[in-house]
This record gives sequence, C-alpha cells and structure tokens, in this order.
Amino acid sequence: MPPVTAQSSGSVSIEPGSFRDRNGRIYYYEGAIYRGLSLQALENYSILAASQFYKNTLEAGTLIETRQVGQGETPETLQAEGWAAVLKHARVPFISYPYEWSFGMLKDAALLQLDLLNRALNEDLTMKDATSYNIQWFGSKPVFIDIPSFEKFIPGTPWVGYRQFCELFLYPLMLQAYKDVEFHQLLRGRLDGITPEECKNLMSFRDKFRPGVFMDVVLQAKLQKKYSQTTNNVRANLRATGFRKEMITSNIARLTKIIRRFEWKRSQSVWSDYATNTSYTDADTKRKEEFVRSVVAKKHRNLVWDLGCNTGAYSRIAAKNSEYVVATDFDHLAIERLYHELKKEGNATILPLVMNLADASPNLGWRGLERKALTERAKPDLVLCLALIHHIVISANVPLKEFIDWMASLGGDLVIEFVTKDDPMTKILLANKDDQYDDYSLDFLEQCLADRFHVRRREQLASGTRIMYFAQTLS
Amino acid sequence: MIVCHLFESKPIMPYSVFGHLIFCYIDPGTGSMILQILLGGVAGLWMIIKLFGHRIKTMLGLSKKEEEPK
Repeated sequence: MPPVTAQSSGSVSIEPGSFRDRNGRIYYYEGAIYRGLSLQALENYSILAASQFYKNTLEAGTLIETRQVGQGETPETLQAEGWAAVLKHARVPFISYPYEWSFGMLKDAALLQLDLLNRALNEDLTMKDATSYNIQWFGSKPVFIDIPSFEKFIPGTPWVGYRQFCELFLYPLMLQAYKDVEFHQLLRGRLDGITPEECKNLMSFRDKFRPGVFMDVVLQAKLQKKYSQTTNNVRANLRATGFRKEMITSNIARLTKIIRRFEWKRSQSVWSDYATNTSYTDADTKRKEEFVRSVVAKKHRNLVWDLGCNTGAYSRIAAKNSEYVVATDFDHLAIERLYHELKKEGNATILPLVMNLADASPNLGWRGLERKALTERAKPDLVLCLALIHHIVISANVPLKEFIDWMASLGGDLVIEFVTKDDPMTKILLANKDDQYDDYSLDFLEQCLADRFHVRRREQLASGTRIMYFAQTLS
Repeated sequence: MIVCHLFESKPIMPYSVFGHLIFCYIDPGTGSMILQILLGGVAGLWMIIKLFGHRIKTMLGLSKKEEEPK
C-alpha cells in the first residue's frame, strides 16, 4: 500500500492536522499510523472496545481497523510523549477530503455518520463531533477513522455534533440537491463548513418549504444568532429540564430520511457523455486501451493516478495490476457516475475524486498543514494523462512546459496522450479563443518529454490527431 | 417561542453541577442545542409540554418559582 502521507522514515512524525481534539494525536512511524490517547480518551476507548457496537462495525468494515499496542510495539519517541495509551490504525490507501468527493460520496458519508451515532447510542455511547473529515475511503467504501470520537453517553446531554453535522454534511448536500450549487468550493473555502446563516441566505422563499430547510437552516440560523452571546449553560439546563436520548435518535431518523431523499438532478454534463459522444473511432479506442494495458501489465505498481479519468475506463485497466488507483476529473457528474458504478461493484481499489488540475487542492487550514495538497499526500508510481493536455494548456492557459515539469515532479512514469490542433475536440476549445498557444505542438511536447523523462514508446492512433507516449521517470 | 424564553432565564441548575461532566472540544452552538428539543420528535414535544405546563403553573402560582428540580 502507498504511504498515507509524506513522512520521514525511521523517525516518528506528527500529523499536523490532528490537533483539534487535545485528547489524542496522530503519529507516523515507518509507514504505520499510531494514535496517542489521553487518560480520558483511553477510558472512552475501553468502553467502546468492550461494546458489541465496536465488534459489529469493525466486522462490517465501517470503522477503521484499530488495536491498542503495548510498550514493546510503541516507537520509543512516541513513548516519551506521555500518552496514557497508544493505538495502531490500518492505513487508508489515499487521504481525500469532502471538497473532493462527489455528491453521492458525501451523501453516503453523511448516512454512515448518522448510522454510527444511532447504533452507538443504542449502547449508551455517543460521538463528540460530526465532521466529514473523519470519514475516508477504501475505493468506494466509506470508513470512519476517528476512534476517539466515541465516548460514553451522559443521560440528558444533547447531540453535541448536530451543528457540525449540518455545516459539513447537511448544508453542502442540500445546496447541491436543491440549488445545484457546487459544494466543493464552499467546503474548500472554509474547513469548518457552511454556517446556518450563509445557507439561509442562499435559500429562496420557496426553498423554505423543502425538507430540512425551515428547521435545520432558517430556525437554526435564527436561534444561533439570538443566543450567540448567552452566558447560560444551556447543556446543563437541557439536562435539568429532561432532555432525553430518544430526542437525539428521533432527530437522527428525521435527518436520515431527509438525506436519503436528496437527489442531484443535473440532467446532463458535457463530459459525462464524452465516452459515447466522442471523436474516437472504435479502432482508436481499442489501440489506446491496448497501449495502456501493455504499460500497466509490465510492472506492478502501488499507486496510479488517472488524471482526467472521465468514465474511469483506463482506471479500471490500471487497477488490474496496481494496489490503488486515484481517478480524478474536474467534471463532478463524471465522478458521481463513476462512484455509483464502483459502489455497485463493491470496488475497493479505485478512488474517484473531483479535481480541477489547473487549480488542484492546495494545503489548507492552520499553518497550511491541516489539509494537504494533492501532491503532498502520496507520490504516484504511474500517471495516466489521457486526452487532458489540451484542456490544461488551451482551456486553462497553463504553459505546456510547466505542465510536463509538474508531471515529472510527481516522480512516476507517465502515459500521456497528445491531441493535436487538428483534432475536432481541440478545435472546439480554440473556436472562440485567440490561438496564442505556439507551445502547443507535437515537436515541443517531445522536446519537453525528452528533457524530463525517458520516452520509451510512441504510437500514433489511426485518426492521426492523437499520439500516445509512455515516458519513464528519470529518477 | 416558549422553549426559547425558558433559556433566557437563569439556569435551573448551577453550571458546576453538570458542566464538568460533559467534555466538548467543538462548540455545539447554543441555538443548535435549543433547536434539538423541537427536532426531538414525540419526546421533544413531551418536553415542551412539560416546560410549558411548568411555566403556566408558575404563572398561576400553583408551583413555586424557585422550585429545585429533583
């Protein structure tokens, strides 16, 4: 499996994004993931570990595989940190964030969060937060990774994570389903999510009659505003006035129903129809597939990136001889369709992500270290870059040399398809633009590739406007 | 709204009694917590009725204003 994040080998390194809850911290050591626990977190973990809920969810694979390790197994540097106990977690093949998921992925993650809380409450456990960053993916399977989220339920307490659930799950889904507003930019813009007030401001009068909007958005915004300055201990008051666990489970059932009904109704997308509405002939498609298949077959790889994956056809070819494939596309609907296909198959080795490579996920959060840029999470052994370069150079105006340099900096081998200016798809891109792209030529591409890679294979497809290259990394 | 007005009054129990029992590293939001009574289904409705009844009784002088909860 590829490493979950950049880390120094041989020494313990701290995960800079794991600072929010002071009851624990994540560490990396020799590719393994450890979590230090405070005494309070250890008490809660002991209760969790003894529960039937824990056994069931581990068995179902919805909770990250975890075990407590003794001193002998704990790295020495970590022992010195003074934690009450240390856990060791299974590795997530590739870390991703909610602002990279498709609508269906965020919806399934939300339903998992609610389901876990509901089942935990049945055994007098609760969850101290409800952030979508606590869910990660094994291909199309969502897994909850933050074990210390679970703690003993204290009768009379409300659901502490309700507001966070709304801000990081409910509102993004609601805006996509009701307003067709892309949630990625909003979530990337603020790691804490969309506030009730902001969500309210985006809703029309008619929207207030849609499920969830009046209570979870409008009323919550109003109450939050009204009581933002209160000094009263509302939690204590709620307990004293008889707040009951059934009220939380009732709320969970209501939210589950609302979220299950969410549908993203965008009828068509230029790129999702690409596979059936393309200039490729059957012969070209076959040769292209054969090209990729032969590169993939030669060497088993840990991590493959399929950039501009569209329907994911080449991700599937790559997955046959690699541990894990990250399939990205800037078209949300293409990723949504791919996710649903992979989910149906129960695929655990292809991770679909929404990503605009000309504006890929940057480092975000506290000190710019809390959420990592795409390139800092792991290095691919092979990058597939098929029918993408014309979008990067012509649509996004990125100089061709810079793009090839970036490809080389990833450190893996490269399969790249060049689409000449005579190709119908490139002509569409140039139709209303000045052709200022002198660098967009076959000769210059070959020069750039030769500077940064060993070009091992070149093949022109029958159309004559598409040329495939297999380039090996110099490193 | 009856529920909201209840939380404008002084806390029924002192903070120290329960405050330390609940560890909370995120802000649950005061308004969001109050809202959970309304989102609490039948149990929530029952709580509102009880709270409302208590307030009516207090207004009618049928129960003491400074009554300590059990």
